[in-house]
Amino acid sequence: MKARLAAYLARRFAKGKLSELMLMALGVAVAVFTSATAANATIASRDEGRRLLETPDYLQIQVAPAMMMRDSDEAIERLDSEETVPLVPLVDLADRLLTEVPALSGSFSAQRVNFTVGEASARGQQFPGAGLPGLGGLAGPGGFEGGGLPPEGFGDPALAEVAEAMLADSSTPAMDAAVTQEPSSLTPPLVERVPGARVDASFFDSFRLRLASGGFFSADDITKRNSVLVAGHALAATLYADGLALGRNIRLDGVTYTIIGVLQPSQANFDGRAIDDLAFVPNTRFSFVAGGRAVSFSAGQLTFMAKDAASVDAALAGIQSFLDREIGAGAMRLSSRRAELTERLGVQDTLFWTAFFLAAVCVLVAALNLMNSAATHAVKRRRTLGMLRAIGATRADTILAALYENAIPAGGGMLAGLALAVILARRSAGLLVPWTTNLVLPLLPGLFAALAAALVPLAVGIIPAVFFSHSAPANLVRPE
Amino acid sequence: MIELKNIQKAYGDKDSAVHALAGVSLTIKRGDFVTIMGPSGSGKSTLLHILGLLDQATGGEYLLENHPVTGLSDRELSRIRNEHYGFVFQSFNLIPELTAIENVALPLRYAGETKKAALARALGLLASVGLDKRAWHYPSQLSGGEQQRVAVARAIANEPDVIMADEPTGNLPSGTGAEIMRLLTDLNAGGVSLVVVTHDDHIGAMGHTRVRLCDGLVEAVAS
Ligand SMILES: Nc1ncnc2c1ncn2[C@@H]1O[C@H](COP(=O)(O)OP(=O)(O)O)[C@@H](O)[C@H]1O
Ligand SMILES: [Mg+2]
Repeated sequence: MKARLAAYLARRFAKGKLSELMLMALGVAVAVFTSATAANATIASRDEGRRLLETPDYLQIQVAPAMMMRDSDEAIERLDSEETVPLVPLVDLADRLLTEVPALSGSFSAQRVNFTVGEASARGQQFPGAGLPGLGGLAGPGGFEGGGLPPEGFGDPALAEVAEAMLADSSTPAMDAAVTQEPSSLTPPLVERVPGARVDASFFDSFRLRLASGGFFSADDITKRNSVLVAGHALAATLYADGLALGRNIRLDGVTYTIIGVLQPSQANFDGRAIDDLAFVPNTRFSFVAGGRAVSFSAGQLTFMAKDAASVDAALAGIQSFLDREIGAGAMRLSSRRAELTERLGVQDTLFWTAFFLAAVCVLVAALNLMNSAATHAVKRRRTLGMLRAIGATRADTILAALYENAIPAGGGMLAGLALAVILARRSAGLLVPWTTNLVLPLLPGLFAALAAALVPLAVGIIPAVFFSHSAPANLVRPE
Repeated sequence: MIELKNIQKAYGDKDSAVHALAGVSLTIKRGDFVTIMGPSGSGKSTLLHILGLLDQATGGEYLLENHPVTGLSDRELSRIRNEHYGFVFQSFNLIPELTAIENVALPLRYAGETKKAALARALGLLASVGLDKRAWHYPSQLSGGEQQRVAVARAIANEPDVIMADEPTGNLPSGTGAEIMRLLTDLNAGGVSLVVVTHDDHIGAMGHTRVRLCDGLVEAVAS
């Protein structure tokens, strides 16, 4: 009876506050929405980051000379002066490294390239003879053996001349085959560019790739630089709508490759590109003799794979100490994608807490707003409370009425805000985190925001009523 | 019915206390009409509040039907105010968020009546003060005199033993004030005790018992 009466009074008291209630609801909605979507976005991208960390892409540790010889004049000068320290025989060291550092599971050399379908692009960045077999035996002081793409800085016209001269001398069956290829069997250029990678045989192993059809490169394909190609799943489908990629020929950068394998679909990326989209061709090793010593060098970066996510740090340390000892401290530079991503995830954590903090501020502002209005209402109600006491309300009755009165806007605002926030968050989450298709609203921040928005003003709203209830009714009915 | 013995009321600290009442003794008999007069600040309102159990004396004794009220709980005091006393103050008597009829029904509801019964009786009470046509108006839509009539209707809702009014006509033009006084004296004629604090000599003279306060002390009582 008493409770119903208090609820009735509260309803009547709250009646004039409808617009206020709507404003409060909006405030709460903004608060909950901000926290929910911010948390959404950060949680989703953090989860994505954590998932990525477990993929083979993030087990990679790249090794490169600390000083890349970008200037080819300098490169030639160094070759002439037989100063070959920066051009270390990395590939030769890889096997020893693998046995010495237990945290490593393998290594590969690979380099991302973008092929032009048909002839090589006019800029001539690629060696025309790339991938052509049978160019062995040309080794000499300062001379390159083999084709393929040398590391950055070797695409110099002067070096290209050397290679072209070598090609001019050669006459090989594979070359003949390329020349005598029936034009009709060549791929019509459905696409102009094909993203690809020059990889060695262990690349596929390292990325746990499986074949849909055909085979991987053989050891021969690598050493003899056969012009063969393994296509990613999506690439094969794009190039050949009939699904019959295997055995077909495709001319890339002026070289005709035979497709010997098509991969199964994979989630993995290499160097930021989906494996599915890439064309893989053998990565050529080239070697030269400097100072009476034969040095073989891989065209791409040498990459080591850590056993698992947990052993990346140990692997890094192991490689570093090995290289410092074998080549010299500071000569080689290591980079780990895991370290980069971990750093970024740290930034994301900061972002998350910043967003959370901002949301808390929003909640606080909404609560303060509600508190303020609750307080002014309570002060205005001093006399009303006195009258209620005079006509028979107990202290408890007046507090109960105030409780209900504040519960109405606090609860109504919370519910309306929550509903609005859920709708807004769902609508906008897809924009904030595009890769997250199945977004779940974070329960905890949402609950926190809603509870804060409801309970803080509720508590503060009844404080004046509690305060006044300790006063004699006479003090409340007296005119100020 | 109500007997005050040497009632004192001091506000503030011991040292700098204001003695609003410095020892007031007064008896209100059933059916009596007591008027309280005195200069401003003499303690009239304070006395009325103590009489109405809206405040507690700091000294002396309050006997209600020969029982001391000291030690009664908030609940018991509230019940006495609700069932036995009716109040009319100088202004702002009504709860602004409630209509006239809801204001009048409120003491009935605190007494435990259902909403329906309370509203029905409230309408009758409003009719008795000539305001049944204005039942669903809010206080802000009523004139000062009408508001006081609603306050009187509310004061008598639970058929109190005594009505206590603190300058009920103080804010009204004299004609309207006379109407209110007529309502109150009619009630008194019906057997309800009446205590009226007033500045108005004319009203003061109407009382059967006329109390004059000065500096918290009863200066004179006339019957
Ligand atoms: N809450 C209070 N605190 C302090 N002094 C008060 C309080 N209420 C009344 N007084 C003082 O008590 C005295 C009597 O006040 P009151 O009973 O209102 O006088 P009256 O109604 O006769 O004008 C005055 O001096 C007044 O200032
Ligand atoms: Mg007064």
